[in-house]
Amino acid sequence: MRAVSLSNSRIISLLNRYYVPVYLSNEDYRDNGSAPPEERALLQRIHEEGYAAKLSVGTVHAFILNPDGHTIDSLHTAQAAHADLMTALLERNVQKLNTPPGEPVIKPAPPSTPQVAPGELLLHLTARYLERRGDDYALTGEGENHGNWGDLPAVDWITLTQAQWRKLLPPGPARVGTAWEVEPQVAALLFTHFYPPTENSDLTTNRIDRQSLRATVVAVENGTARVRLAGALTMKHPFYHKDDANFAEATVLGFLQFDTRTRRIRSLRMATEEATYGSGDSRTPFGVVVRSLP
Amino acid sequence: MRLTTYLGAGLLGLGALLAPLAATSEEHDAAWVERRVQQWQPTAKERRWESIGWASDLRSALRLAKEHQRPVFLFTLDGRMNVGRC
Repeated sequence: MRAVSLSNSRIISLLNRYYVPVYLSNEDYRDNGSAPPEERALLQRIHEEGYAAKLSVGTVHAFILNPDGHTIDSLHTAQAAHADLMTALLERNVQKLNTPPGEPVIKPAPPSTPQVAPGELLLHLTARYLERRGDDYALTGEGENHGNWGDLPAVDWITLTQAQWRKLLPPGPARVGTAWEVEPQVAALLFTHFYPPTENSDLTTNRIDRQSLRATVVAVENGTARVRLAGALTMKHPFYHKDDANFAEATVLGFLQFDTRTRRIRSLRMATEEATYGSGDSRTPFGVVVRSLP
Repeated sequence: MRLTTYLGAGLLGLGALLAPLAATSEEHDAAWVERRVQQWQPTAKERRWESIGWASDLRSALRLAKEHQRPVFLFTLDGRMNVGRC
């Protein structure tokens, strides 16, 4: 739905001018989820009102509530992902309620960057499906809207403590040619995010079967050392919230620069060279890139 | 959506997709990595959904709806929309 309906100009305009849009993750409303009891009760009531009105009700849905908060319409996500059906849903309820247009109630803003404690290293990871074009890879859906949710990338934020990111540095003084294997526990903090967009974002279901991350000091100049990171990964990652035979396989290249005096990381960049996801012969290419902030 | 459905179209010409790339990591340098990092960031087109003014939670949305006499659009999903893991 994010790739089509929620990226459609007409729908964005309708939502901003006539509605109060909100989304929620079902994970927060499950037994161990973080949603407070008041929110759980509200969602339960919205569902019950939908059932009573003989509307479509389920966990992955678009619901329309009137200004008093009562359920008046709904659409399953599979239908709401079609821009024409979603537009019709929004327009008929605006007409029914005679809602006048206005400025967005909430000012649109991109998701905020996570805050980290002093000394921690914040990494931004983008994972996306790719299409092979000639000798290189291209973004899926580039140039036209294919309408598939997999056209959009996934973004993860990774925070490494000082003790963790120091394992990416040479154990002793930085000398060109010094090489070492990054501790698997630290490499895994990165690699466990190396999978494409799927319906399963539960990292505990990932199982790293093979990994390596070899670090080599390749340059030391003017108080800055450059470390080359070369890695490989084979990780089981179920597509859904149930077991399957899908694996992510990747080779990875990266570089980090650190201050040889303070031993602080100035920048870290990583990218998959080749990566595929799937099972058996059913594998599709994807790519992951990582960058440090700021 | 079933994985097989999604992968289906992309798997046409799978043999070509799985052919090893000509370059190896020995031939790639920091500039190559930097280019990849830039090329694969979310594009403006992919971030259009961020131009929707989302309420922070359900209770806030209901309060604002009453205050502004607007209907609520509630989207419930599996995963995390703000990071695209959905």
